[in-house]
Amino acid sequence: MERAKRVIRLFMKNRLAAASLVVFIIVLLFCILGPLFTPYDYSTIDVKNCWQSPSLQHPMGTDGIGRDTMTRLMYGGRTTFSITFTAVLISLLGILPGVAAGFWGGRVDNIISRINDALGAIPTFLMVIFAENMMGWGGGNYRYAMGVALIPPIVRIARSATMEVVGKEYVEAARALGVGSTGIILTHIMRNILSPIIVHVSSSLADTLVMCTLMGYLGIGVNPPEPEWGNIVHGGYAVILSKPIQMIIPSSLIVICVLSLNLIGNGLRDGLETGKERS
Amino acid sequence: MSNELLRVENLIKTYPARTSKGQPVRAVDDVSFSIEKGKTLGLVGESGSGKTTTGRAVLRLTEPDSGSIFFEGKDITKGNMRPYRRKMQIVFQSPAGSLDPSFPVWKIISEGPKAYKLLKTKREAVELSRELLLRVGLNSEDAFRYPGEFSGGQQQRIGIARALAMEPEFVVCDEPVSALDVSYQAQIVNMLIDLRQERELSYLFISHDLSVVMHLSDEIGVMYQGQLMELGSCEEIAKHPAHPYTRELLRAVPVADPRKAASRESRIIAFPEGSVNRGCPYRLRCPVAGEECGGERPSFRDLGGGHFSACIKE
Amino acid sequence: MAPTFLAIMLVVFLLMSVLPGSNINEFSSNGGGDWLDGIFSSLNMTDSIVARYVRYIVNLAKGDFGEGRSSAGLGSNIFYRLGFTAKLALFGFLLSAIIGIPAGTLAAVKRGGRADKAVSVLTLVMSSLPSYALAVVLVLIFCLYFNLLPPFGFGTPEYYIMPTMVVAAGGVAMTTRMTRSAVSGELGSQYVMVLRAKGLTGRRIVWLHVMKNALGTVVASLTNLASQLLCGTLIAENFFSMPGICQLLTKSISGRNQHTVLGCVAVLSVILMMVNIVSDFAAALLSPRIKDAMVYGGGRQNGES
Repeated sequence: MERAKRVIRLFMKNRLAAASLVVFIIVLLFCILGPLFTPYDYSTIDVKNCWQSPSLQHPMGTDGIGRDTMTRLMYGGRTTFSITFTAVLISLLGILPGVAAGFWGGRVDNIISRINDALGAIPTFLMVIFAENMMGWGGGNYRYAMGVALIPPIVRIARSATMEVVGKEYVEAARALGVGSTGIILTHIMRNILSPIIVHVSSSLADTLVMCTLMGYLGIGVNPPEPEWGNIVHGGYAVILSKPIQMIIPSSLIVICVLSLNLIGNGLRDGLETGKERS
Repeated sequence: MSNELLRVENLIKTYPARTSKGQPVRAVDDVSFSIEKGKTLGLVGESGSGKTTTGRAVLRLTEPDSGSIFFEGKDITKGNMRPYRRKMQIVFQSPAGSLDPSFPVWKIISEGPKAYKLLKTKREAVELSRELLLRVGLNSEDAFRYPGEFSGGQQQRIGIARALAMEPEFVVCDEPVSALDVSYQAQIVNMLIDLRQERELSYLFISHDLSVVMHLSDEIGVMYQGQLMELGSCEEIAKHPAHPYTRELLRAVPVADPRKAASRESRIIAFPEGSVNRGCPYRLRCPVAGEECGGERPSFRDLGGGHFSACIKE
Repeated sequence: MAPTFLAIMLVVFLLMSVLPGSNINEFSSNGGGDWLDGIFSSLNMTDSIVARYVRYIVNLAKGDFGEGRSSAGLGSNIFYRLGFTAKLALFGFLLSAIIGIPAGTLAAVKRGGRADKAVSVLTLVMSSLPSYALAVVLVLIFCLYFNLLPPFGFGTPEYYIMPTMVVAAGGVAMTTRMTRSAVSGELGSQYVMVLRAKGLTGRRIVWLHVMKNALGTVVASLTNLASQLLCGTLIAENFFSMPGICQLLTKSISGRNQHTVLGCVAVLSVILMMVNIVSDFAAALLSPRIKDAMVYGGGRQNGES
């Protein structure tokens, strides 16, 4: 745990990363707590007031059928983040086979790597589209497919990190002390493969967020009227030439999130990599 | 015989060839020796002589291909090593590599006893490591630091503390001082000697530095290219080295008196690459080698008094 | 490659036969040629899943994707749109290469300097910007403010400019990053040091070798780039209403037209696989080191010292 403190300290030194973390937390709070403060519901239709520009009543305007955009963004954020986080969590399942492949090598490694390569050969997007098609679209069923599509890189990273650790002398030392394989995996290996995985997770959060909103934007994401950031952008497309702000607002929100996640990931990477090198 | 702690018979370990055209390498080629309780066997040789592999094979960190290992009379060559690991420990050559940088020191030291469920709480583990840290000359507060914060010599002490935590009877010291500054070497070697006395330990001390080995071993084994060239008591080997290779190693040991040093012969012979499969492996460098040395592999001849040599010329 | 493709299609096919509302069973009950029927009936497998799958694959190979909701032949529709998408993707690829490779090389050469930092910042921004956001910005600038380019439709080259930029956006960041790491990897390698130490060799020759090898590495991961470009094309076609295969794909998903989806997925997978093969070849051609690695495989080095 002391090591974690060291990493956090280094991370905080990187002002850009720290600022991004703050920004991201603000956005999260906006989505989680925001709905408590708005008078609107995300499906309150008020067609007379459609396509309003930002005003006091509707700080971010209204959409095509009069729903308040800000409220929709708050709820939409919940949906988007829930899909994104679920997908990334599912991808973490790949740690286990990766460690297994790296630790035991030989045939186990062969089998796992082949399956992993086959899975990774399928382009993410096609897999997701296909899964959505199959499972009935809407309701964010595609989060499971996204999660699965994110597994191969994790397996690869876990595997190579494990292989690096397995070759180290302290693993041999642990064996000489009488520690069994399970013990070695749970302690030495797990602690030492965390950093590359964390770095990857942060960047995959950003990519998954983009992909999730992408699906929404193409109109093949969550079912309306349920809001999701990509959906909202999609909705704004109808009036892009007349009222471009309708697309700009949700897009900017998305861009801010993705940018912060990327910067956080960069900060984490720098923090973890320099934190490890101590002579 | 009841005094015998470790016996190794005809140990062989071969590694497959690295390239498609190369030969498999016999890292340990029919090595036999025994160590009595409380005694120290020093294993000397240059890099590639197989001494490190032997050390690891004895502990079965590397599985031997054939041969037998007996510990306290029991055959431990195959089967579960776990019951024996308590009594047989190892100190590694590179201090930094053998300590997990993500573990605090107390965790490193108590890892062994914890694996045998000898320690139940974290407090016990920290207590134990504090005691051992003091014993190896470090501070008890160091228990909460990380290996990266220590110097090489200190890290090596942590490694020794870790080995001692198991209260072993036998410790393989794999070049424990080779990676350290000369000033540190003496400290660590002396500490090992003290510990040996205190706890009645037996060592298999591996090193390429003959002077260090002679300082703390009761018996010495000389290895070359995986084979044991000479085996005998420290005194015998120092005074009457029977094998030409042993003599070459002795020549390399610095001698205080410059007049004596000058009188020693030295000869540099270039030896061709390629594996040597026939006869004595040393013959390509040997100053007294002859035709007959390229024939059969010389057997380990008993010269009396526990002194063995694998040279047919003596 | 073929096994991977067949595997993908098998999974696709099995899932589709299991799910309700899919009419793939009727589709694959006949067709494929009489010789197939002969084989299957002799093995008593006429109606099994295997038979249906094989028929489906054979049909695909003949270009017959079955009937879509609109009774126009799906196959021809797909192939017509394919040409479109291919043009768009190709332009996008060229654009990202034209921008990305020099940028990456510059960053690698002036490592740590201002140019490198600037390039890093730009890469970060580009990879954080979802393509549709970029599309919005482009439309804003070029259509609304400057009134230069038409936003929707196709035909004359001007319609292609913004879509190409959107497609390229997905690829530029990746290309730049890869080129930078590949080139700086080459520049740091031993043969470059040797050549430089000799001093006599002209800069041109050094550069030739460096770039060849670096590009080899970049080309090797062309498949990844292709996935990115695919996403970009999807958005571009959707946003700018260009009749390509990706647009068909998204429309058929929303329209729950499973046949079409299957057909598009099949075609796209094949194309991606071909890209994979081509990229491997090209990489081996460019960089002898990669060629050796591919031919001799990663040698497992056993044994400790």
